[in-house]
Amino acid sequence: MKSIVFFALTFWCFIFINNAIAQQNQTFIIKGIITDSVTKKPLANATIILYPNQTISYANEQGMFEIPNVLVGKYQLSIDYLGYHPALITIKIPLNEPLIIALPSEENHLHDVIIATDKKLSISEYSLQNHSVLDAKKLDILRGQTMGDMLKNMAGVTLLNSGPSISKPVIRGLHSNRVTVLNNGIKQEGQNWGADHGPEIDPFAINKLEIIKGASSLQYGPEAIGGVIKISAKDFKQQNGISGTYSLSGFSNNWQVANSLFLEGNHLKKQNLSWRFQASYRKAGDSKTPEYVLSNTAFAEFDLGTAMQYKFKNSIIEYSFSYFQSSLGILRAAHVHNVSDLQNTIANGKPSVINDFTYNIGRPKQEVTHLINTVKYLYLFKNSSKISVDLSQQINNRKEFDVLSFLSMNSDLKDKPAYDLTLTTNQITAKYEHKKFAGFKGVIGFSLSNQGNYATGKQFFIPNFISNNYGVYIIEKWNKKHWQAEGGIRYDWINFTRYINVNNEVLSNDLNYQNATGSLGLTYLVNTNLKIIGNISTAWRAPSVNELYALGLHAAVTSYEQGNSNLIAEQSYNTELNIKYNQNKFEWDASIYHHVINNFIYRLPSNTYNTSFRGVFPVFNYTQTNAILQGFETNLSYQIQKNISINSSYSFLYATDLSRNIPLIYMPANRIQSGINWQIAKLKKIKNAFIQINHQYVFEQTRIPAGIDFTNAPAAYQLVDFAFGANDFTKAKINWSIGMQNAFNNCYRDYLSRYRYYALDAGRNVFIKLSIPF
Amino acid sequence: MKNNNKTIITIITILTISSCSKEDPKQPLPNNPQEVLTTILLKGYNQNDSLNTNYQFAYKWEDLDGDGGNLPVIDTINLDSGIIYTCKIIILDKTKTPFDTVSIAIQEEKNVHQFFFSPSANLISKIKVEILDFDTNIPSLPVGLSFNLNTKNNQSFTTPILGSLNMVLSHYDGVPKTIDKSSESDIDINFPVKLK
Repeated sequence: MKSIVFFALTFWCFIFINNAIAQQNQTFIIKGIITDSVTKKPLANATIILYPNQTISYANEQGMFEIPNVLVGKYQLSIDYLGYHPALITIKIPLNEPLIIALPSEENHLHDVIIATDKKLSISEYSLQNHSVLDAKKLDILRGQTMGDMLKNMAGVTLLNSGPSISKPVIRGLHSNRVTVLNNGIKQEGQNWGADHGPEIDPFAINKLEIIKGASSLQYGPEAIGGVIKISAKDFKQQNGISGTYSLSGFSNNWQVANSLFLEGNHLKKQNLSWRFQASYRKAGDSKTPEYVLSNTAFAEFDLGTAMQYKFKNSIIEYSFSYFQSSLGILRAAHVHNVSDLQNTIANGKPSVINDFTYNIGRPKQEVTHLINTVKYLYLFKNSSKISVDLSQQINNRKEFDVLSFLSMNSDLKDKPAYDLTLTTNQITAKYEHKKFAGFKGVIGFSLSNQGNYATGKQFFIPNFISNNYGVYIIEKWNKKHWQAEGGIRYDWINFTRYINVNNEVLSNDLNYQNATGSLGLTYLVNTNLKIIGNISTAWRAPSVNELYALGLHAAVTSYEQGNSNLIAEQSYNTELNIKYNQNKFEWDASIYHHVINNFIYRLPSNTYNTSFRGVFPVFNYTQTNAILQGFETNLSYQIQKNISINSSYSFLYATDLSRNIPLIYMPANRIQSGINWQIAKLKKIKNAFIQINHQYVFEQTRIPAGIDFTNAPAAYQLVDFAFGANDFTKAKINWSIGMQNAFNNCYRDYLSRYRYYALDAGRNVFIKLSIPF
Repeated sequence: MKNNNKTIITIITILTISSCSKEDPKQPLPNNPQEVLTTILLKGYNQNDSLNTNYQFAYKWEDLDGDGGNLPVIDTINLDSGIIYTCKIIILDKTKTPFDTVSIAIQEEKNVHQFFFSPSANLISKIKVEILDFDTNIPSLPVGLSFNLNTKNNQSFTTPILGSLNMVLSHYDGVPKTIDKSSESDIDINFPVKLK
């Protein structure tokens, strides 16, 4: 109702302003530049509409636009760019200076459009929640590597590894079902609960990577307790023609070859039909530690993605399709049967199975496919309000194959996976964004999701289920002078039904969860260089299927797991204070957070043992506690000279199980990262060369609960990475780089490496990367 | 705008139709673990008793409800001193009808399997385990489906000694078979033993 009133009032204001425009004869040119308010990257192809003339123009590759033949008077400019908040600004012709318009991306709630007519005025940024971005330029050097490699240098982000082929992002100690991955605006739905189930996304197709740290259920729904990882593909091409890029990378550690072909096109006179296509393939053999081969860690991945966009006068329609397929070897030595086998392996200090290097993927292994179909529709009102509707369907299939035992070697069970799970998810999200009115700007939206899981295979670790999730939310933001505020509320309903077959009779159990969440943020701009941001947000999460109903042996972690259908939803309260300082050569930001999660669900040994013919296994139950995660992160960067910069970041986390008064298990160790970057404008015949050296020191995790883990936390370690590259090779326009990860071939085990009981982490990795645009 | 709506409706329809799947979560398959064994039998006879070479005893380790649930039912192996018992192992899956003799697979895959028998510390000097069957590796290595429990060196005990016999089936997959246990135990059980 509120927004309808806004809408009506805005509409009348608009008419009024339009009528007030004076008519004169002399004509002028409106010139301007449109950029991202945070990254300052030009927003090529942003749409600029001049009212009341309704002249449409687009920004060029440098983000610049011109509107000729404009008479003296007062006008309105509407600036639109997909994924960004639209802007409606009033201008007076003639202009003294070109316009500088910085659009805030949709994620940065507190951002407001910043318009400057003086280039000296710095374009500052605001953010409600702690938000870091890796844009195309920063990602280029990591292109061809896994998503984990792209993420791991960001403060507060670590990885949960299951061997070299599988990694999951951990934000401030939380992962899996507590972190939401948004793939081009669609919530990625695989078997997210599994610590050894990596996100099913083609790393080559990632053009921008954003991390929102902390509870963010308000806009992203339940489960976004730890934060959100947003992945964006390249924007659609807006100039007529077809172009593309071929990328090729090679890695020495596992003799991996990765390549990708990207094509994009734009057609029609009005440049309103665009498309893109990407096909990628990678194949890797066994990885190596400095001492031995990690047998059966080979993997292969194939990805295909295509998208189309058509622009109508006031609306945009987009269709996209993507297919992901991977086959992942699981470290052979990590498959042990019972506690005494595990203890023997730990005592030996090296994997029990070490074979020669191979590209073959044997058992145990995972075979995963993921299919996404998406339709997006956006309607722009003349007053810059907009409505967007996204529909999507995802089909995820996961097959996990165990080592063959004598029990199935000679039967028809031989080729059957241990688990075969098909998860189908349909989602609809819609939102209406109203234009700025009386200092308020906001969005109202809803989301519906329907999910079905179908299980088959040799044993059912998790059952069939159907889950329906409904959510509605409203977010309003306000700003005045030095103050910016944003707040919102959301309500969600989840209905979860499990289906099992007992003696050919289908039994179902119904579980219902509902919850309200809210968020309030406040920013104070002390001056153009310094700002202080405070934020309180809540989030919640219903127990996931494994926590409720898992039952059986988890061979990879030598435990017998029992779900608990009496678990209640987790509730999280996050408070954060963030200070940002930015002065030409010097940039610094620091944040301190206090994250309380009530009813935090985690696996704890029950002190009972399950005796089976395979031996003795500790029984793990899912229990709930009140947890508290406190931490501190800081980033510092300094431009020593025109072309040399240094940077450093530190992350600290202190997590406690309050009910038992013990440290929370499996929390990432604290770490310091520092780097130096040297840009060389011209080095003999090479143009735009760069040298990067990175050092990471990871402390030993000393906060571990006593008597729970099978072994002690590994020692502290340090890694040095090195890269050298350029974007011009002789006369051909080829971007290239060479480099080394773990340059000193250090032996180490990370506390969050799930296979640290069995083997070291990977050793030195020399890489070479080429990308050829055409 | 009108055209748009048509396009959207068409696409929604396509999406909805494609979401109909044969794999209906409301029709779950029976959750019967398909890779199980329920019963491990230790059949044997007393070599001194020349009249009866039939198996005179069958000690049983049995867990009919699989992982979790009830604890396995385990017989105590009763041995007398001064005797050689010849034994063989038979493994059954009683969830199948008729019972499936899964130990046949071990016999067939004997080059990558081996049983290890370890009497508890108080019995280690009193019960000798002698493997009778060998695989076709070169050189040939023990299998352990047939073996002797030898108590010949002992005089009878007036108070029986209570101990246990641990039985491990090692699987050698990706590693060569040796005379040592592998890190992968397909079976790892304990029988109580009473030696007189």
